[in-house]
Formats: sequence, C-alpha cells, structure tokens
Amino acid sequence: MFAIIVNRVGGAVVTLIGVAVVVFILLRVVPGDPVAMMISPGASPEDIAALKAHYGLNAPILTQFWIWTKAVVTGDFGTSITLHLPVTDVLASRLPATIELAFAALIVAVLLGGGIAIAGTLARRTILETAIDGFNSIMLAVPDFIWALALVLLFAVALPVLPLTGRIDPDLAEGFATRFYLLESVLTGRFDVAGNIISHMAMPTLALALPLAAVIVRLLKQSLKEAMLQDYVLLARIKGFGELRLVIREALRNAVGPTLALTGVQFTFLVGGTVIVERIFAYPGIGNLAIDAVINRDFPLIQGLVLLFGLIFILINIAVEFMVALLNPRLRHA
Amino acid sequence: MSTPATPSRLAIDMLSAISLRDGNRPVLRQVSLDVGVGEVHGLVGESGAGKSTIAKAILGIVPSQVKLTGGQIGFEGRDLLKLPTGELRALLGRDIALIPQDPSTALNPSRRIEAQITDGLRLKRGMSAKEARARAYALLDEVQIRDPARVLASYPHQLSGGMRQRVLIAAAFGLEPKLVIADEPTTALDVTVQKQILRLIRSLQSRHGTSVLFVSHDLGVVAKICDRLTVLYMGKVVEQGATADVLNAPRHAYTKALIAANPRYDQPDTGLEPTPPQVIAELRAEIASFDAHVAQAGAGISHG
Amino acid sequence: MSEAEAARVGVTRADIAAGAGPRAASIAARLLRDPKVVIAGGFIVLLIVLAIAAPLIAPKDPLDQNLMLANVPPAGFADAEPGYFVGTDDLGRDVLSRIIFGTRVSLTVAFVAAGLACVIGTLLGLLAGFLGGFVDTVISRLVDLWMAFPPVLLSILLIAVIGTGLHSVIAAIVIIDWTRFCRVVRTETKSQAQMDYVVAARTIGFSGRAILFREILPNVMPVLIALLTLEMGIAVVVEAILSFVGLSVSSDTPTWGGMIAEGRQTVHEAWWVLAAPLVALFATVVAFNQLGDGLARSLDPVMRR
Repeated sequence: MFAIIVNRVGGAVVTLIGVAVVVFILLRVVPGDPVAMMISPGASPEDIAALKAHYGLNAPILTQFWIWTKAVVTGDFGTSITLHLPVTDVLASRLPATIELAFAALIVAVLLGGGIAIAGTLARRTILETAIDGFNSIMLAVPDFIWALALVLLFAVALPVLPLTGRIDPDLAEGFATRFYLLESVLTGRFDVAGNIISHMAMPTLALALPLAAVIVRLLKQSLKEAMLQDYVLLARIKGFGELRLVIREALRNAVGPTLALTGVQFTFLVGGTVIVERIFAYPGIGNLAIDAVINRDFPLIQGLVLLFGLIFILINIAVEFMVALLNPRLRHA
Repeated sequence: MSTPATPSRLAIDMLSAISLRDGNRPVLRQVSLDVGVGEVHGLVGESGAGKSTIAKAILGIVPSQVKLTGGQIGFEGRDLLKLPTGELRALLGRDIALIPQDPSTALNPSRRIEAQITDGLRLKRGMSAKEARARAYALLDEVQIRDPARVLASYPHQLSGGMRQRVLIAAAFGLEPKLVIADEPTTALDVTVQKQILRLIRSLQSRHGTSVLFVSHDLGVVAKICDRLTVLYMGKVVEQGATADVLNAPRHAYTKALIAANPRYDQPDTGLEPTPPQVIAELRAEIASFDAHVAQAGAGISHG
Repeated sequence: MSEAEAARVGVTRADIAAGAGPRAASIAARLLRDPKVVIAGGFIVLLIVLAIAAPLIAPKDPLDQNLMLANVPPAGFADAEPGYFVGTDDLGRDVLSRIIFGTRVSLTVAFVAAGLACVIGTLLGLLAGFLGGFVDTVISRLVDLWMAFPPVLLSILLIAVIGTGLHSVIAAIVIIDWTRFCRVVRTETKSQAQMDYVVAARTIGFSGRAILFREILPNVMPVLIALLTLEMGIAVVVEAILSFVGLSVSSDTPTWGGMIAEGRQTVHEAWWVLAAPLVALFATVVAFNQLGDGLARSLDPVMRR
C-alpha cells in the first residue's frame, strides 16, 4: 500500500513539472506584448522597459524559467499583471468558492445518479427502466455548458425565483473569517445566509452535476444489475430480505467499484467545466478567473492557475485510487 | 407413497412442472413426498432429475423458464404455492432456511461474516445488535469453529471452503427454522471435509429437531445421514421409503443401478458402474407411459 | 510461426491479400434499420444541407440590421412580425437566418477538427500499439501529460496564444482532443496485434505497414467511427463555448455560441435570442451522440472477423 502511494506521488510530481514546462513555453511563445497592453498610451520606452524588467521579461528564456521555478518552489508565484496582487493571494481568495461549488455538484450528482440507478435496478425489466435508459442516453450527450444556459433560460424567463449571478448577496457578504462562505455559514448557524448562498449556487451546481449524474446512472445501474444476479443475493432473498434491502445492503457495495473509479475521472472534467459554468453565472471562483487571466494575457496568473488545476486533477486521481483500494477488502488485506 | 414416522412438516403433493424453453418438456412429473418433523429426508437423483426445481419451488424462486403446472406444497397447513409474496417472505429465513451448494459464491465478498449472520437474526428474530452478535458467536461455536471471534471479523475470502460452509450452516440453523433445505451442501468440498459437514448437519438437526430436505446426486452421502429417501429420475419418483429399506431391498431397477454405481471403499472391486442401458430403456418406457397416461387423463377431464 | 503453421491457422497469402473488405451494402442496410441512426443521421444531413445552401434557404440576410424591428418575438407570440419566424435580436437581425448560417461554422469545425484529431490520434495510436516498446512509452506519457490539463482551460489558453479565428478554433480542438483517439486506437491495436492472424501475416512476409493498414485498421474502424461521431458533437460544443467567450471567429460571422452570448445579455427582454441557438446546439449535440451510439452498436459485430 505504501509503495503505491510513493509511486503515485512521484508520478504526480513529474506530471506537474511537465505541465509547468508546457505552460511556460506556451506563454513565452505568445505574439503580442502583454506589458504594452497594460501601459497607458504615451508611456515612454523607459517606462515600458522598466516594467518589463520588473516582470523579468527581458532575460533569456532559460533564465526566466529558472527564476520562476525557484520562486515557485519557495511558494512565490509572482504578481498578477492585471490585478497587481500576489498570485498566491489571488488564487487563495478565489479557490474556496470553486471548491464549494465542485463538491456541491459532486454530492448532488452522486445522490441523484445513485438514486436513479437504484430505482432503475428495482424496476429492472419494466417499462420504467426502459424510460430511464432512454432519458439517460440523451442526458449523457448534453454538456454542462448547455445545462447552464438552459437553466438561465428557465429561471430568467419562466420561474424568476433564483438569482442568476454571483455567489452571495453583496450585503450579506460581511463578517466571514474564511472564504468558505457556505461551510462557514452552516457551521456558525447562520442559516439565512447559507440559504442565500445556496440559492446562488443552485444553478451552477445543477449544471455541473447533471452530466456526472447521467454517467453514474448508466454505469452503476449496469453494475447493480449484474450484482443482483449473484448467488449471495439469491441466498439473502431466500433469507427473506426485501428487494430494496437486497439492492442496497448486498449488491451496492460490490457494484460501486467501477463507478467510483469513473466518477473520479469524470470529477476532473467537472472541475474543468467550472471554467465556463462560473463564467455564465458570474460566480467568483478560479474558473471565472482563468478566463479573465487568459483574455488579458496575465502570465503569472495563468501559470499559477494552470498549475493549480493540474494539481487538483492529480490529487483527485490519487484520492480515487485510494478509495477504490479501500473499498475492495481483498486489496486491503493483500 | 410412504409416510414418515412423525407428523408431516412438509407435504409435497403431485407437484408437476414443465420447461417453457424446451417445448414444454416436463420437468416434474406429479412428485409427492413428505418430510416429517425432525426427519432428514434425502432427495436423490442425477443432475437434471428435477431435485433443484423442487427446492426452488419450495423457496419460491422457480426461474421464469419453468412453469409449475399442478400440485401443492403443504407447509404448516398452508400451500406455499398459493401464498402471497409478503407472507412467503415472512416464512423464509424464519421457518424455512437454505444451506446452499457453493460456499464460495453464496457469501457476499464485501461483507464481514458477522454481518452476514446477524442481519438475518436481527430481521427475523428482532434481536438487537448486541444480542445478535452474541448469538452469532454461539452459533459458530456450535458448528465447531475454533476461533469464532476471528471468523466473525473476517471476510469470506479469508476462510477455507469448509469453514465457509460451516458459516452457512450456522446461519441456516441459527434462526431455528422448522425446515432446512440442504442443496448438495458437500458437493463443492473435499471428501475429508464432507464427512465432518454431514456429521455436523446431523447433530444440529437432531439437537434442534429441525426437518431437513437433503438434496444430492450422491447416494453414498445421502445414505449416511438420511432417515428416508426419495429417488428421482427425470422428474418422476421411482422409489421412496426408509433409507435402510431402500438400500437393502430396492424395488426399482434404477435404484439398484444407483446403489451399484456407488464406490464402496471397503469393497475395492465394486462401484462406478454406469447405469445399464436396459435400465435406462425401461425407465424411458415407464416415463413415456406415465406421460401418455397423464395426457389422456387431462384430455378425459376436458372432454367430460 | 512458419508458413506451414500459418497455413494451419487457416491463413494464406491469398486470404490476406483479399483483405478484410466489409460488405458495404449489407452494413448500410443494417444501419438503416436502427431508428436512432436514421433520425440522428437524417438530422445531420439536414444540417449539412442548411449549411451548404444557407444563402438560398435563409429568409433574410443574417447580417442585416434593422433597429426598427429589434427584439421582435417569434411567430405565434404577440407583436410578432411576419417573415421573422424566430424573431429578431436587439440589432433587428433575423434569428432564424443567423441560426441557419451558424450551421456553417459549427459543421466546418465539427468535420474538420474532429477529422484531423482523428487522423493524428489514430496514426499515433496505431504506432504506439503496434510498435510497442519505447515508441509506445513516449506516446503514452505524452497522452497522460496532455490529459492532465482541463480541456476548456487549455483550449482558451491555446486560442489566446494562437489568436482567434476559425483556424485557431480547429487547431485548438485538434491539439486537445487527438489524445482521445490515440488512447482508444492504441488499446485496440495492441489487442489486435497479438491475434493469430497478424502474427501469421507477419510470418508470411507482409510489411508492418501493410499489416497495419490492411488488417488492423479495418478492425479498429468500428470503434473509430463511433468515436469520431461523438467527437464531432464535442467539437461543436467547444466551438460554441469559444465563441461564447468571444474567442472564435470574428463577430460578424453568425455563430451559435456568439448568439448565445448575446442572447444571455438580453435574456429578460428577448429570451428567444438565447433559446433558439441553444435548442439548435442541443439538437445537434444529441444527434451526433445518438448517431455515434447507433454506429458503435451496428458496426461492431459486422466488421469484426
């Protein structure tokens, strides 16, 4: 078990370094001068040169990379060109919002997908199951981008009950110790504030959750149906247990492995989807930030963001491997 | 049909079934048998004779390709075939239990042994977690498992085949059912372990006064622990009676052939003789005339 | 394996030379029996027709602004204008015509980008699976690294680097999604390369290239075609996302993503400007997806030896 962890972490570090190199190269290849974009017209060449020197854009590429790597290893990602703040601060302030959104979407997807998969298994070989399959097959085709906009349409025009943008009503955004607004408001008992946050998060969460839920429904239902054919389920049925109990107590834990692995992979896509979904709902997380950073060619910020996303992906993959191993008693006691 | 020495617990009467996939080929031909209170009744036959169909009919798990066409299964004064699902489910596990054939697939690989024994106890006997755990421990002790605590905490893959079968036997008898169906419980085990398991079943059965329907293709195994026997060939009862009577004075040629086919280790020159072809031919003729008789009777009824 | 052994396996030069050619007519017949394939395929054919004949079919000029007729609702609603079946946007442009013209960009990207990604990914996948060893390791590591990036972020990043425009969108999609094809083709190739008929062919003396293209590729085809169709759907969505963010073609060419972005702004006054391109996008994505599913199911048993 320990050997596997070391192996994975090592691989992760290598991948992360690779990511950093690629990004670095990409950004240095960019035509167009980011500094010139920031400077007011009429600035003197000396000012531009000074600014370039400040951001270290004059030195040869390898030197730049070396400087950057040294800085990164010590935790200094430089200063954002557009926001004039240290990149680490910017990332730290925006990351919690996205973490809350991604996990909320994950929970919704698992509950929704799991519930429908179980319902479909109980209804197996009936018309209901066929309907679920048909519906789900269409759901599988639709990406979060389309869901987000469909929800905007629904709640802007038909049911104007939910706020369409932002994370929280501005006047309620006071008195938070951390940036984990939802978590904090729930833990400190400020449920009215929590409710407000949830109403803001509802649509982006749903948009992100639906594609994942569809994937879960398909795979979990299939695995459950296979598990239900096993001898131990038959024996439990003979012991007198009811159908729902059989699905949940006997079949589920044997069926969940492959779904778990796939959910982990799909979760990385979900996190990737926050980029556009946050944009659509003007939700202040790192996804939204990423788009701005790229459009404005904010190198330090882009580098920091790409590394951050890469790190998140790698962590998710490692976590999934852990959970799969944990769930299989045979591997645990190997 | 012979009758048991004690009052009847399970009374199968004229049970018939056909296979829908095989062009309505008969699977059971008016099978009747009686299992008395505290009796171990052997159901013997080759594979395909219909033994497991009878067991499945009792448990209500007959597969969709088999259709029961007649007869009844009397248990505690009720016909199991006519019981609504809810009532049958209430009966199962509490009054009727199963010892399955293959211990390696009958246990859930992802659940600990303790959970798989206690869940039945808690559901059917309303025990609390603590009570159920204590009872599970006692049960494992009863089936002569040396370290019950360790086994309870284990997963199935950590136990040997013999141990798993003991666990399944413990789970089956643990609910103190009135009838236990043992479906070839020793087939998947080593010969050395078989004897122990048989002895175990016999001792548990006599201690709790449980009736046992012992399904097997092996006459040798059945001879060791059964009080009475039913011999089945192609879904038809060809011999029935007390074990000693059947073995010592078999009336049907097929039974004789079965006895001859059994290797007896104390007589090295005997055994493993295939059923002689003329016996098979006689059997086929017997069954054909039976079927014709049944068809005629059916036609007669519909005419009348 | 010697030639004698190969003959025992039942494979001769003649067999291999004859190739694995699928009987096209019977495949087509089988495909047409699947309702999913017919409906989805028919829809896509319709889109292709619309794209090609857009100037002839569209009722109005998509770029024609008429501020007097801004934000007119679709036919059937109050204040609708005859001739503007799906209404107009806030610059008075006919939504229906813009949608019809939008198919051009969407389908171009779908076919070209997905096609190129398929070709590149397939080539690399075939090489990796067939040659194994060092080549395989290098390509696999590359794929792993590639897939560590969030696709949307990477595409936006690439566009920012390369610059906007249709060619950039296509390039970005190809650069990001070739890995999908590569992975699948590599796995398929690996399993095929170990089969008897390939070993036999090798022994008889067919060159690697011949085996690759005449033996392995046809057996990889079914998976590939299904994946290609799915990828086209994905490409359409990516293009829409990029034009939504303003990083695709220039703003005078109507694109569904651009229309969605504009419609998002005016959703309270003119919801149809958002709804129409969204529905078009939805239908297109679902169509490609169902077509891919149907193809995967129908082609598989037929083409496998």
